[in-house]
Amino acid sequence: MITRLVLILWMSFSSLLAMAQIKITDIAGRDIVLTQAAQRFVMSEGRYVVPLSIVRPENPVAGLVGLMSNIGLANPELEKQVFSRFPDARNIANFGGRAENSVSVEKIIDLAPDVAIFGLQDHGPGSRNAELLAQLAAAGIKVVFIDFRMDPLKNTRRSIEILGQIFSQEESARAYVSYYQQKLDKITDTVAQLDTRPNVFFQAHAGRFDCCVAFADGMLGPFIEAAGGNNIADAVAPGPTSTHTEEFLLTQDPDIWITSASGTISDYKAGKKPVALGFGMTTETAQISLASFLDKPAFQALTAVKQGRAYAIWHNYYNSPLNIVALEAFAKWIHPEAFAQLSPELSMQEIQQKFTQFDIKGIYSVALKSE
Amino acid sequence: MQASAQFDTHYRSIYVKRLSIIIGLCIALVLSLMLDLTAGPAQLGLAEIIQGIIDPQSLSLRHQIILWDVRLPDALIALAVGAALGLAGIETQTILNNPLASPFTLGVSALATLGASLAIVVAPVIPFLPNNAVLPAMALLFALLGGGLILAFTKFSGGARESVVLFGIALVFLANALTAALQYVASAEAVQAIVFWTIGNLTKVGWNELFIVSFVFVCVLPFSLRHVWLMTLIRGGEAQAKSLGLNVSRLRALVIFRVSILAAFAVCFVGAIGFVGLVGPHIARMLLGEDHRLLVPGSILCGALILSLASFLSKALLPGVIIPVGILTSVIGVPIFLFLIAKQRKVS
Repeated sequence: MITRLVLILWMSFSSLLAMAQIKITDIAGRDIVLTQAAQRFVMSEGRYVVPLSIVRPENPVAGLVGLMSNIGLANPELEKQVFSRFPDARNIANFGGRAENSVSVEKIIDLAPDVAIFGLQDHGPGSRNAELLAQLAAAGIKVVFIDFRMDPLKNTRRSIEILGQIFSQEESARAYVSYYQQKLDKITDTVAQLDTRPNVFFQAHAGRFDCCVAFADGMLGPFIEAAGGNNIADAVAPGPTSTHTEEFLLTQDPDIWITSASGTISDYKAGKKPVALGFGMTTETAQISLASFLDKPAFQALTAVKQGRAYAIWHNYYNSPLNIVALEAFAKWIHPEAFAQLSPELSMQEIQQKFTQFDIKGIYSVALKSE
Repeated sequence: MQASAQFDTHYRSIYVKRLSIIIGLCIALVLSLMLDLTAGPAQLGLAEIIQGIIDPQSLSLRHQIILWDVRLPDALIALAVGAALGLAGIETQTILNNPLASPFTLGVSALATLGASLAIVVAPVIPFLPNNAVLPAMALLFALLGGGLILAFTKFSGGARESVVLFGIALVFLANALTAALQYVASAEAVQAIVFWTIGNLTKVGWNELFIVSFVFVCVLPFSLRHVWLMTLIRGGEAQAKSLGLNVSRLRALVIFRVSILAAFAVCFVGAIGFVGLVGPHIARMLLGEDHRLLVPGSILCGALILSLASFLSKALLPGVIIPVGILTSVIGVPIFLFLIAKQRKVS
C-alpha cells in the first residue's frame, strides 16, 4: 500500500517535472531544455528591453542581471524610462563593451544567470563563437539565440515566441505575434495584388554616414520588397549594405527615397547632422531635420525629393520587434493609394498601449512634405 | 677628352630616356583622368564630358550635377591627394634614408585617424565651423599636432634619423591605441563610420576640399623643388653631405615640417589612404633613379596615377556601387611594384 502510494507520488512528481521542462529550438537551430522559466538572465544588447517589454510588460528587466552594452547606447530615452520605472535596473552589470571581442565570459559566469540570450548576429557574441558557447555550457548557462536583425521578416515572430517560452509568458508573446502576423498578412496580401513596383532607394543613417550607404539585401533592406517596392541598391550590390555615389541616385532617379534616421532630439537641438526622429521630435522638427539634409543640389534634382516622396524612418526599428511599423510606413509611402488606411504612428501608439507600456511621445516616421 | 665626351653622351641618353619616362607618366595620367571621368552609372561619354566642361549649360541639369558635383571633384581630388602623398613620400624616404618610411611612418595618418574618430564619436559642435567641416578639421588638427611633435622631437634629439623614425612609430602605436580605446566606448554606428574613414573614400569631397588640398600642394612644391639638389646629395650619404657643408639636421627639420603639412591636408578629407605615399616613390625610383630633379616630379606623377586608377576602379568594378578607394590602391600598387622589382632583378 505504502509502496503504491510512493509510486503514485513519484510518478505525478516526475510528470510535473516533465511539464515544467521548457524545450526550445532557438533561431540558430539549437535545441535547449530549461528546467524552469528563467529567473536570472543576461542579454547582449540593451535594445532588447523592447522585446522583453512585449513578453513581460509588468517588469521587463526583472531578473536581468547583465547586459553587454547598456540600454542607453542605442536608445538613451528608453534607458531613462527604464531607470525611472524600475530603479533596480541601474544595478544591471555590464559584461562587455560595444562588441563581441569585449565580452568577459568570466563576468557572465560570475553573474550566475540561468540563461544567456544573444542575437544571432548582433554586436554581441554570435552563434559561431564556439569557445564562448562551450565555456558557458560548461558553467551550466543555457544560451538562446534570437534575431531581429539578420532576417527580421522571418525571425521576429519566432524570436518573440522564444522569449515567451524562456519566461513562461507564452500568452503575451502569442498576443504580439498574432498582432504582428495580422499586420504583415494585410500588407503581403495587398502587395500581391498590385502590379507596380516603384523604385526605392533606402539610405542608412543619413547625415551620419557618408553619402550614400544603402540597405541592400540586409537588415531592413528586404522590407522594401515586402512593402511592394523595388530596392535599387539590392539590384546592383552584392552584400547586405552598399555604398553609392550621388551619381547612382541621379541616374536611377528612384520614385521614393527613404532614409533611416539615427539622430535624436538632442542631436537635433545641437544642430548636428544626422536626420533625427524619435522621442521628443515633432512632425515639424523632423521635417526641418530631413529637409536640411536634403538641401543639396544632387538631392534637390531627384524626382522623389521634388515630388515630396522623400521620407525618414526611425533607425531603432532595426533590430527590434517593432519593425512591423517600419513595414507599414514603407507600404504607405510606396503605395499610398493601396495603403491609405495604414497609419504607422497610430500603430506605434497602439503597440505602446497594448504591449510595451513605455512612453513614446514623439514622431517615428516622417514625410518631407505633409499630405 | 674622348672619355669625357662619351660620359656626356651617356648622361644625355639617360637623361633623355628618363625625361621621356616623365612625359610618358604625364600622358598616362591624362588618360587615367579621362578614364576616371567616364566611369559611373550615368551614360556620359567623353565627348559629352568635354562639352560639359566647356559649356555646362549644354548638359541637362542632372548631368550637370553628375559632372560638376560628383565626377570632376572626385577625379581631381584623386590627382591632388595622390600627388601630395607621392611628394610627401619621396621626401620622407630620402630625408630619413629609409625605404620603408612614408608620411604615415611619422604618425600623420594615425593621428589624423584619431582626430577623425574623436570627431565621429564625440561629434562636437564647434562655433563658427559648419557641421560637415568638424571631422576634417579635427583630423587636420591632430595630424598637424603629430607633425609638430615629430618636429619638436627632431629638434630636441639633434635630428638623428633613426630616433625620428622610432619616435614616429611610437606615435603611430599610441594614436592607434587611443583610436581603439575610442572605438571601445563608441556605438556600433560610430565604429563603422571610423572604419569607413580609415579605408579612405574619395567620393565625399567637393570643390572646396579640392581647392584646399591643391593650394597646399602648390605652396609646398616650390620648396621641394628648391631642395632637389640637396636631397640628391643626401642620397649619396649623409656623412658626405655633411662634409660638403650641408646642415642635414636643419634640412631634415624643414622637410619634416612641410611633409607633415602636406600629408595632413592630403588625408584629412579623404581618409587614411595608405600605401600611395610608400609605393609611389618606389615606383618612381625604379623608373627614374636617384636624381631628385626627376625623382620628385616622377614620384608626384606616380602617386597621382595610382590614386587616379584606383578611383576609376572603385567605380568601375561593380557598376553602381562604390568600392572604397583605399582597398584598391594596394590592389593596383602591389602588382606594379612587384613587376618593377622583378624587372630590376632581371636587369641587374
